[in-house]
Amino acid sequence: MQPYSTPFYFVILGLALIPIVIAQLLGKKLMWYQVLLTIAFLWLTFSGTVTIWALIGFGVFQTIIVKFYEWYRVKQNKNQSFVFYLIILLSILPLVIVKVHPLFNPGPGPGSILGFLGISYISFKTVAMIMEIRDGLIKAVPLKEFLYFLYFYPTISSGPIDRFRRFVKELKAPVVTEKYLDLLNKGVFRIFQGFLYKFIIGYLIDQYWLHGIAISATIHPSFLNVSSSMYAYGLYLFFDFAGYSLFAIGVSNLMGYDLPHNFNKPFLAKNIHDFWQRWHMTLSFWFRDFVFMRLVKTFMVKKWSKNMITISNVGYLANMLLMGFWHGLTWYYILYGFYHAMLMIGYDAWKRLKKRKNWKIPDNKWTSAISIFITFNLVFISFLIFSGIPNHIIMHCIDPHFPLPNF
Amino acid sequence: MKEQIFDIIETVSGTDEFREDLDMDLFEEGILDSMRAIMLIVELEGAFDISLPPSEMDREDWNTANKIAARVQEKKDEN
Repeated sequence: MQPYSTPFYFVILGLALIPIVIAQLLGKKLMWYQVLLTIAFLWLTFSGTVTIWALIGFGVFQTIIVKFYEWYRVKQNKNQSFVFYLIILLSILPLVIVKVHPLFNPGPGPGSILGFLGISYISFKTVAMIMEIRDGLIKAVPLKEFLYFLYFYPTISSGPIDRFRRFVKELKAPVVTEKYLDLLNKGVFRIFQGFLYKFIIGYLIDQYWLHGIAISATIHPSFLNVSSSMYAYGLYLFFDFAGYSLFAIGVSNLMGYDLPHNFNKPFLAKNIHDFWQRWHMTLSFWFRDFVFMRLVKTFMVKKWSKNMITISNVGYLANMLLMGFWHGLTWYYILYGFYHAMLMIGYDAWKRLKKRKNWKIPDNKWTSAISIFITFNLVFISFLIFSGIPNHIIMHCIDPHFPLPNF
Repeated sequence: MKEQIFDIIETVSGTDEFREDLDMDLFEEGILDSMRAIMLIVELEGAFDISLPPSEMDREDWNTANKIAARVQEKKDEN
């Protein structure tokens, strides 16, 4: 049973959450019940599938790695770089295997035996922890908290990507009734908002626009068809994913957790920089903190270049390409990453140009509207690439029997 | 120590505007951005022999000259 997919699921979830809500209102966390709930829902989602073993195996594997590194870094107080890199590589190995698998086994068959719903997202959690152990920010990894963090049910399929220290702080804090009432309020609202986004708006966009236009654009590509499919897909992507995120956050809120948000009016972004502070924020900030900033800091410390522009451009490329690869090893995911890197590099260059020429562009409603319009369209072009529709168009030209898109 | 920290901020950002108001938001005013923030981290780490991991740099705690000075002092005291 896919999370958040059927009314039945929500009914069961709602009923199951009632004891936790009551307990929190009475000032108690009911941790044993939370753990039971997590196990029960994981069971509902994964049982009867082979992937349940992948899920469990993955947890065991990551626990061994993280606990080893904790022992090495904290107990032994050693900090050799090569151990750090090795542990990071081991931690991402299952994910890499799962992503590379389709290259060797193309076609609609089952994916790698290591894969399970959420593997891409859980991997972020362990990698971040290893880095923070290295940095000395995490000085202890208590096993129970670690496992609950890893398998936290509301966010297991697609995030938002939480961070260990934040989660544990919340786990340990006592229940404060006013705070919980506020969280409960917001959580319920967000669940309803999620319904609106995913099951009404997203559904309607797909049913009456995206599904049909994607097929038309594939069979009879034209500027109009393709543009229309671009807007349809981008809007669908937002409402669907933002809707899911709202469910995940809302349910977590009901359980007493104030999870970080994923979207903040992304289509009002005035430039690509602003966009990445509004779109899939937990992913964007994860890459910023654990890839971009670390890489740039390494460049500067090791003095691989004196040129700040070169360093930041290489940083953007590495960051965005990695993000592209993380989505999957297809040409269009990689191009998506590369395109966003170019947007970031281009935007920085534009800022430098304005400064050099001393162009003072006024900041008013009109200029804001134009910047938003430009950013919106540049971003939607990236969504078109990401959607795979161009891939369908090309493949259909080569082989008319290639399967049509089925959004 | 505060003066040394402010000198470093000035070198990294290329401006001393922030000295007029040590509580102005350096990121909002464009005095600091992600790149300069990292340069700042590298310089501060070197100058005070402390460790400043990027993922710890919560912008809310690091966005004014005064806050930066306070954070560095805390780190120094930790060691």
